[in-house]
Amino acid sequence: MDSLDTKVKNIIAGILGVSVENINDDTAIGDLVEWDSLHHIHIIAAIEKEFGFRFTPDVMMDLEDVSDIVSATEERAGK
Amino acid sequence: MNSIVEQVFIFGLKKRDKVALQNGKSSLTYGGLLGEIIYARKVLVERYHIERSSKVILAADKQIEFVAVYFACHLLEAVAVPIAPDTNAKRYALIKEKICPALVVGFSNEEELPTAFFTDFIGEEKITNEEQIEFPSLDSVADIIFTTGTTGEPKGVQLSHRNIAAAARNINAFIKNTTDDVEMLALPIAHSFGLNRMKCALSNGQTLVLLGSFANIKRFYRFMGEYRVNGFGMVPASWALLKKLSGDELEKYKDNIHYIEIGSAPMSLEDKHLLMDLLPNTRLCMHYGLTEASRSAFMEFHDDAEYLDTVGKESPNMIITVRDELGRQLPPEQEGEICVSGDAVTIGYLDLPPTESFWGDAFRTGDWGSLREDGYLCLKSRKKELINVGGKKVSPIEIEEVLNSMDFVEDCACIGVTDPAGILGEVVKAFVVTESPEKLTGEHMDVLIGNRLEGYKHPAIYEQIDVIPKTSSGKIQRLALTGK
Repeated sequence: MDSLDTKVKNIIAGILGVSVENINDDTAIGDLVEWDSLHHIHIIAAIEKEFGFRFTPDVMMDLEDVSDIVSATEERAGK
Repeated sequence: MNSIVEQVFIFGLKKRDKVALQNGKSSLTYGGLLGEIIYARKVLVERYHIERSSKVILAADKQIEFVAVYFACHLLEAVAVPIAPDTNAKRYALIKEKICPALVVGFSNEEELPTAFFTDFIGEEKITNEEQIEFPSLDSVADIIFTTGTTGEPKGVQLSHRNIAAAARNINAFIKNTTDDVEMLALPIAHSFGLNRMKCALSNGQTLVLLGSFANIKRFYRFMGEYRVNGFGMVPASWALLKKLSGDELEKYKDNIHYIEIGSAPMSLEDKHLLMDLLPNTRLCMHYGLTEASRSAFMEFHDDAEYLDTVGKESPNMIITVRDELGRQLPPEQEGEICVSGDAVTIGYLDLPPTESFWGDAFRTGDWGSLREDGYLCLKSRKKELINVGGKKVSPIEIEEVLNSMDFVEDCACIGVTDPAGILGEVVKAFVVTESPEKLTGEHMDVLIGNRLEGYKHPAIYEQIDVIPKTSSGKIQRLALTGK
């Protein structure tokens, strides 16, 4: 079974239409040209749907790169 | 008037140590930028044989090397053709066919033409104040920007050095930018708005802080403080995203932000008032314009508080007229086609006779509206049927062609509808005639469409329909679908 880390990266890569190899822990939001506002909203919505929680505005304001998204998801998934 | 690249050199030679570009932790001074431009010019000439009038496609990614190669093309009087790095294959092929480029920079999939990567241009040449640098003629073509035509086929807008220099002069005059301004560029640089912000800032000797996207909200606010940013450009969708991700956080910077330029799509009155409340001392400048006639009209929310339902008055050095079907100028209050004259107006489309898009020197925008007695312009409708997804223009025909190629789609029509998430302004809705409605889920359709369309062109909403309403000549009646 895929780890949460892998699942989150697969979601991001799938929505951006890029290979998952391009998504590393330190890939910052907006680093890839495909990662624009529209795709970011889709990524947030897809993670919320997959893991069954909602990001609050103060959490979203604290997301800078992929590792932040993975950590925030880990803290909230399944709670 | 000097060309933009000449202005960058004039300023850069005087203030070599001032930071021109900040990209993450790395920064480049004006002296460094000039050195990189000269080096990029050398590489273009010696390695790729670029000369006057050669056309160079550039994957317009927000990086320092793009800026250097872009200006190096200008220095050579070659024509820069900046396009989005994620341009779909069909559009890319059409653009290539139209311009026969001498070089493509930044596209790894290119197999037929000479190709370079931005890393090939990393280097710096030393320049002295005494060095004689030849600058381009104002009347030569600087850029060809491809816009979305109503048929989905890209249209090449030719902009001369005079056009782009005049546009930057007009914009800087209205916003009242000074060389001390530090601007954050979070807009895509492949589109006119973002590219123009870059040219405005650097021709004015400002510092430009590059940010991948407004989506990186943490970095946006961090950069605001770290680099003392005092201005930026945004589209209404950027503001919707900032609100969604950070609430009223922007208010904390009300004493720091001197200006915001807004454009590319309409903004609601509610949002205009909210911005005015949050930022009472900021120049909130909203433009109306097209790639062909950059920033034709401007308004400043505080100064024009009584006229927020208009698109403002003509910009400095631009003349707006409203004309009938025969090109005759109409008096105030009468509705007609909005036309624009001025030295920022395009010299014409690539391969299209000017008679189709001009009345004399007045460019026909295709938009409908009227001028009030007091000079404010009221925009009534866009004559073209383009869908505006977060400021990016989308032709419904381009999407319909892709959907119609699927075997289970008998017919379809696409329109723009209000984004239910309240972010993008409009999103694409597809009406589809099919006997397999179960296939019309967003996830399934996104996979089928794949890279044939850029992400923002993928329909957000699908609806099965029995028949597409059409005129007797077979033209889709999109208006009949808007009420559904």
